[in-house]
Amino acid sequence: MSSTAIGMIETKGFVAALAAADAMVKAANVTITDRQEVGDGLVAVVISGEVGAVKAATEAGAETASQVGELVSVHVIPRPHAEIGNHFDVSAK
Amino acid sequence: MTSSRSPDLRALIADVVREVVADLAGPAAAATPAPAPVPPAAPAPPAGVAGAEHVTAPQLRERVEAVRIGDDADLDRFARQLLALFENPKNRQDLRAGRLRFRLEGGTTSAVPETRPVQRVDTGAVTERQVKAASEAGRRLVLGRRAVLTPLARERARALGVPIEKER
Repeated sequence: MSSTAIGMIETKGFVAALAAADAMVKAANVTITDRQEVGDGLVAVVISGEVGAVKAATEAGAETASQVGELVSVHVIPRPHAEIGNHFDVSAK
Repeated sequence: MTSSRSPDLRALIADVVREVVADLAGPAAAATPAPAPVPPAAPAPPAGVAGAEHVTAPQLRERVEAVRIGDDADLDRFARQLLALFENPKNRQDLRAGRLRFRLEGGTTSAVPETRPVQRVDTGAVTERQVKAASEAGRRLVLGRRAVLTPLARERARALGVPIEKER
C-alpha cells in the first residue's frame, strides 16, 4: 500500500456508485478495494493503484456517476500513510 | 501645487530644489553643523510612537498617497513631487517618520481574472475536459454548492491558470 494511491468516489444512490466503479476499473489499471454504505443512500467506492491510474480512473468514475445519479465527492490520496491501513479497510490487495 | 505653470518653470524649480537638498544633505552627511536635517538613518526607525512625541498631537494623521507609475515620465514626475514635498519641513518630517507613505496605483495583473466571462457549473462533476474548454474560451469557472471538482481538473486548472471560485 505504501507506494500506491487510493481514490474515493461517493455518490448518493447505489446505482451511481456501481456505474462509477465500473467506469473506474475500465478506465485505468486500478482495483476496487472497498465499498462503504454509510446510510442515507450514500455509497463510497474506494480504489487503489498507481497515482496516475487512480487520478484517471476517478475522473472517469466521477463523470459517469454525475451522469447516472448524484455525485457527492471525489478525492485522491497520492501517498497514503501506512497508519491508515490499520483503521480503514483501504489497503491494496 | 502649481501644476498649470509652464514646464520650463517647473524644471527650473526642480533643479533649484535638487541643488538645495543636495547642499543640505551634503554637510549633514559629513557630520558637521547639520542645520535642520539630521542624517537620515537616525530619524527613520522611530516610525510611530517616538516620532509622534516630537510633533503636536493633532498632526499625527497618517497619509497614504496613491502614485501611478506607468512610464519614465511618471517616475520623473513622482521624483519631482517628492522633492517638492521635501521642501516643506512638516512633510519632510512626515516622510521620514513614515506618516506619509505612497501606494502604487493601477495593478494590471489583479484586474485580468475579474474581467473574464463566467462559466457556471451547478451540479455534477467538473472534469479536466471542462477546465480545458474553459481555458480555451478564456472563461473562469464558478462552481455551485453541488458541483464537484475532480483532482485531475484541479491540477489542470492550476497549470492553465483558470480561476475557480466555489460558492458555499
